[in-house]
Amino acid sequence: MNTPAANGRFEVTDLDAWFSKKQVLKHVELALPARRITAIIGPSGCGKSTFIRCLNRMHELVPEARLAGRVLLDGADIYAPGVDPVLLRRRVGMVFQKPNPFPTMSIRDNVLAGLRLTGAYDRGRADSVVETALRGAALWDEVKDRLDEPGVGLSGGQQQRLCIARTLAVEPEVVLMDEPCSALDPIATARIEDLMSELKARYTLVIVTHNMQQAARVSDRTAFFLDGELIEVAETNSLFTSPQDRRTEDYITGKFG
Amino acid sequence: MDVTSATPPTLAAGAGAGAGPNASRRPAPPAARATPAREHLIEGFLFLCGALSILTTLGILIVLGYETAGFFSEVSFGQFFGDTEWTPLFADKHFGIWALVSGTVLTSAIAITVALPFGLLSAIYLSELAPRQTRRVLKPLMELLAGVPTIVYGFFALSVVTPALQTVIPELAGFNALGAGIVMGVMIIPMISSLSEDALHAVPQSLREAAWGLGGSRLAGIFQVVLPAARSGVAAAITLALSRAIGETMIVAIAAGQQPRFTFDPRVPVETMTAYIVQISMGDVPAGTLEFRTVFAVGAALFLMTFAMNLFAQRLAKKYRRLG
Repeated sequence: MNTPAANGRFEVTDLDAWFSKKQVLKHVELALPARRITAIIGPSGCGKSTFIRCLNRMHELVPEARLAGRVLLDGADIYAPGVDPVLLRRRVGMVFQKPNPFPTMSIRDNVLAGLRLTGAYDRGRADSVVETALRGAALWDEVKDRLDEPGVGLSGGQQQRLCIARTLAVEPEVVLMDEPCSALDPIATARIEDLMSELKARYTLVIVTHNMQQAARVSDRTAFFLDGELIEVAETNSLFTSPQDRRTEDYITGKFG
Repeated sequence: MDVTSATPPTLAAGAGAGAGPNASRRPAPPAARATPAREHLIEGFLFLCGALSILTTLGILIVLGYETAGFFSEVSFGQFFGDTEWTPLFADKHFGIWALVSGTVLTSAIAITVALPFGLLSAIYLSELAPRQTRRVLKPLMELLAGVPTIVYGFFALSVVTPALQTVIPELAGFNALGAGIVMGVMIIPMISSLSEDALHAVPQSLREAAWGLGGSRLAGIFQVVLPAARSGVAAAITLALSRAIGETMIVAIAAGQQPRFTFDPRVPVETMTAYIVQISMGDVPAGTLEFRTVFAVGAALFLMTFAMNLFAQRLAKKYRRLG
């Protein structure tokens, strides 16, 4: 068994994924170290979103979607028979491209939604869970006086941090973020990026982004995908300064994409 | 009743179809060069289409109000609202509307009790759980139920459902609120199911994914996220179905009996407001008499009931929209 500090490490081997007949991931081999930020970059349609949706078994929820290969979380295959995808998703949280707070719930109830959905809600702990999660998402000071107002009344950036708080409240080991800033303005984006750097002390972060500057700013490692293939993965600095593959170089220098 | 509730969508579709071919006949004319006379003509025609339904409603309201006023010049409000017996055709006349209201409320309550769980659960199944193929087959089949003429339902209630119920409840009368209510419930299931399914289907997929991403099971997501997000549509579906049940005539006229009585016992014959109107309209009560005018007073009361309910539904929807 791993020590707690090493929890949340992914190893992906020979991963293929399809939407009906179209293959969107081809033989992907990638390790995601625990408590670090890995950025997934690449042009639209390269399979980067599909890749992270394979990590919490969301890919299979799309009708006619299939996959093959091995995905190990802390050494255990998450696609092994007997693994409950619902339980897995409590360990591997996800933040989506567009902020999607639950429209019928207050700020407070949005944070508690995960606990209620998983049956782990405990009234006595609720207040402290709400405060911890909102502090963790750097939102507490802005909303502490209006926790009972609707979550959708917040600004876009605040809504996205509320969605992060909602994810943290379930106490996952890994947080997947699918272009979490693409719908936000630069100031809101900067706040989320700061938040990512804080979060990596306790969570493994995987961030899909089409914004190379963002990948360079926040991530420790960067993986470049193209047409469903992993082209190159390296420490972020070295990938951006001395890419090994010609296609990576073309992409990061803006020759295509 | 059903005519009024079916009219707005039909009208809207008609207006849309009218604008379509006309727009395509003239390929993209600049706005300034559009022929004004023609535009005005079309505009006027569309206005007339809209005005027609409003004018019809107004006409009905005026006749209803006039005749009801005539009724109340002979019968006091006290006699109408303060009595529980309804015997306008007898020598000893009583005009207690509650005897008819109770019949309507009782049969409608039974109907909604039957239709709500079945309608809502089938909507949830169709929208959230059924494979796409199944949904494509089942939904139209379900909606076929709405096409069965109500006279068939009424006869079914009288000659099949009531005898079947009598084997379980021996003291059930041949005409009763229970059988009529249950069959009416079956009749409005497709309405609840179809409209609720539309509302559930309109909930953005991103909310379902958010619920699943937090480790929620499919069912938890449905009941804690999807259903609450669709609640204004579901509430509207229930209200419309209830309006339909309150206004339903043929089933209750055939199977619930024609004995106005103030009771909430589902086993005995009752008479609903609509069934009373049928009874008078088909009988040989001469027009212009007090007995004839009771029809309008009952009609006005019926109208007020459904009107109040639609108002309530609108406020409900508005409140939820604000929250949403």
